[in-house]
Amino acid sequence: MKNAMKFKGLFMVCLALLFAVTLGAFPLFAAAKDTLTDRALADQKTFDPFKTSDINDQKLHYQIYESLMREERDGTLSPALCTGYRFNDTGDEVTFTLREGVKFHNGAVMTADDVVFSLNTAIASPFTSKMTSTMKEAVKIDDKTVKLILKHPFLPILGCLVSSSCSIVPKEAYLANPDAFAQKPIGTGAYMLKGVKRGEKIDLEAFPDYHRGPASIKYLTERIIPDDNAALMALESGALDMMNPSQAYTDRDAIEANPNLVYYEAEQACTFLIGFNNAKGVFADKRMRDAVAYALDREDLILGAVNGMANPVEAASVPICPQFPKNFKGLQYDTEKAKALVKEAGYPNGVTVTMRVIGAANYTKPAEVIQAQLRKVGIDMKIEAMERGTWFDVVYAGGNFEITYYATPISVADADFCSYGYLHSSEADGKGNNYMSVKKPELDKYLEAGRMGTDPEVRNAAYLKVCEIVRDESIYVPTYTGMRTYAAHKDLKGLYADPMMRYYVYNYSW
Amino acid sequence: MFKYIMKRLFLMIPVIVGISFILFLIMDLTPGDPARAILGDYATQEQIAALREEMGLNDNFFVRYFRYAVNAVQGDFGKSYRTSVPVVEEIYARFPATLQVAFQAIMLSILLGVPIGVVSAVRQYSAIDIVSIATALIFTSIPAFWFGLMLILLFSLKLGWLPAVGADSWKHFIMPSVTLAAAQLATTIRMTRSTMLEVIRQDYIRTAMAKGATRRCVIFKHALRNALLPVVTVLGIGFGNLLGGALIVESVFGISGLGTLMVNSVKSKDAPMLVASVMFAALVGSLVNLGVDVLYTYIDPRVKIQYLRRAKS
Repeated sequence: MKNAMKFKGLFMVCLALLFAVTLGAFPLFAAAKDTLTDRALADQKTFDPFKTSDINDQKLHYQIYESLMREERDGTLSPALCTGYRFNDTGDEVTFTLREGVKFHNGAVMTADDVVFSLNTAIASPFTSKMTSTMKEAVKIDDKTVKLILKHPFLPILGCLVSSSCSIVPKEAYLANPDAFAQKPIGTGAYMLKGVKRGEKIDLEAFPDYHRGPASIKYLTERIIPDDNAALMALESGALDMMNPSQAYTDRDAIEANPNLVYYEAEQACTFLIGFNNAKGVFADKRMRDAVAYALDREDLILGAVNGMANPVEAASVPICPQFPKNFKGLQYDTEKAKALVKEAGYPNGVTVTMRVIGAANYTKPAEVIQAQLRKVGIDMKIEAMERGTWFDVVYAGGNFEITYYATPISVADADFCSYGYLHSSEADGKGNNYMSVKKPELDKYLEAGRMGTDPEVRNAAYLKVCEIVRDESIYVPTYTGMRTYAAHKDLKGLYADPMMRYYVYNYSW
Repeated sequence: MFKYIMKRLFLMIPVIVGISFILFLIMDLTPGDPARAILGDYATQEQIAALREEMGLNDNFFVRYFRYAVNAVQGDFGKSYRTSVPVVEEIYARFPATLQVAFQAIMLSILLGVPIGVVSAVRQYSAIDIVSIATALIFTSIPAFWFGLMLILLFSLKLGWLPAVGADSWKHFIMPSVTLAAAQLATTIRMTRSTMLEVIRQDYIRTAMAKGATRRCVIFKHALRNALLPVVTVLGIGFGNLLGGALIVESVFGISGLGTLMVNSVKSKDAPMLVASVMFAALVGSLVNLGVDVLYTYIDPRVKIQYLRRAKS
């Protein structure tokens, strides 16, 4: 009897062990992955959202901080730290009702004072001026209401409030030591900073008291790998879960051929362009600008410069903007016309010009293709590649150039962001972004109508006129919109390539 | 000996001051405005002018250098233009990884390179000699970034034995150290082989053999010790180079180190960071050289006697 009992006991233990081993062996019962490892190109310069305009820094700011508004996957805007908003009749004031019970990572509850302080800090900061230049002041109405006063009516203001440049920070913690805050940020976002190993990785952890509920993926690591090839190998080996790959077609092919990886692609939020100095030099003559426009073969340029990974653009706008005129036609490729214009402009034996570009492949490779295309019509173009800061000093601020290759990057999907700054006369002469020295009263009129208009139809019409003037005057020649790419493990759900590199890891899951 | 070391340490001061001055001057002469680099591409001219004034960038070059030097003597090397973090903190955070990779690489090249070089010399023109010379030639010729990527391809992607990137555990340092050691290993093999070949043909080696000393005793006690002096010199220089030149390996294996820090500082025109990190690399290089010189005295007693004579006179 005793032996039978012993045997039964032993049998039960064996059965339990077998059950435990079986549980462990089947992936169904295995612990779900709770970490996401992404690739970063370089160290985070700062975690202070008001002291950077770097898109790579902002990637993490979107995890740590939140703004009053949020952008959804389809581009629509929805309230984030507010529950609602209303414009006044003249469209130059927006009143926000704040979301209640929102906590910062330090446990403090978000107040109207925090919101007012954050917005006014962003307005005062030179780093965030691209997003806040139309804002005048934020004022507290009561504990639940904040009013944002604008310099003039500005419909895309809600888009600006999505940006991490308008993040909401806890006033007291920020003011206590802004330098320390820049290293140990406190936001209301889905992730809290856990640790930084400079040059190596940045660790974040899901914020348990996040007002929308804790994130599905508990840990987020940004692994710093500057080299594209090494990063791709890390992705393939599983050391990375997602990354922004290079635009080399070989990398795309490698990712698409790997059954464990998925390749994501979306149009970039910018249009690359051939820019002219409209005020002085060879291209002050409209005929020469026209000649370049006629000499441009966009398909050839896209193939040669970005391995075909771009879409041609003929309008002076960015395709993701709602005001972008579809089916708009620019000056069509015609080398004979271009040659005739060069002769007519007074250069029967051709002309030599210099294109000053930023010394990065994004700009130098297209410049080389354009060089070959212009040679066919009698324009011998030399390329002068410059260090980025030098290019901004010489070309952008100094206006010392004949022709250049640059882009109109935007952070809000609205045509104002790719036109007003670059084309309005008030922004010329080193005062703003009008480095091409465009001074046309008629153009100013439409740019102002677009900027201050409150009727979307009126704005669309104004921006169509802007595109027509840019084409008819060949103020600059739009070329293409590149691709924003991402690659990730196939099991990662919720990821998509975002034109403006706004990645909300909160929306991802395994 | 102590006097000699102190003298060498004092001689480092003008070297470091000279390096800092030249770097400061180069950073000043290169185009690009640090204020714009800090504020970003779209800052207005007024904002840039205000920041230049705040940072004292409008002052004369010598005023700025003197201010920097005075602060540096007090231990304040400034804050990074790029990250606003004190540069000393940044260097302190980066140096251990660089040192670890460089140390492992140099140890690997000593432990493998010296014995292979000795065997290669003792058995000149044998199969082992030909193989070792060919290996050295291959290691010298292959670019470090390619070798590193091939190692990742094999050991991380295909075999899954080693992590591809990072510096979290000892496993992470194997491939970077091997990559960095490759070229140094080749130099060590070739240098050991050639000096050993020279030494084993000397009369005193023949005498030792004639006196009936064992082959092992002659090679390792008499020949190798004399052959090591030039090898130690090359290893010392190599270690200095590894400390400052691990950039490619750091970049491929995603390791935080001094190399990437220096390159990023150049790219972002981060003068305080660049000047301090190069000064630090120069200081470490000088100390390594001093260490090598001291090591000579232990390897070759004649060198020690020379130092003593000089000290007496």
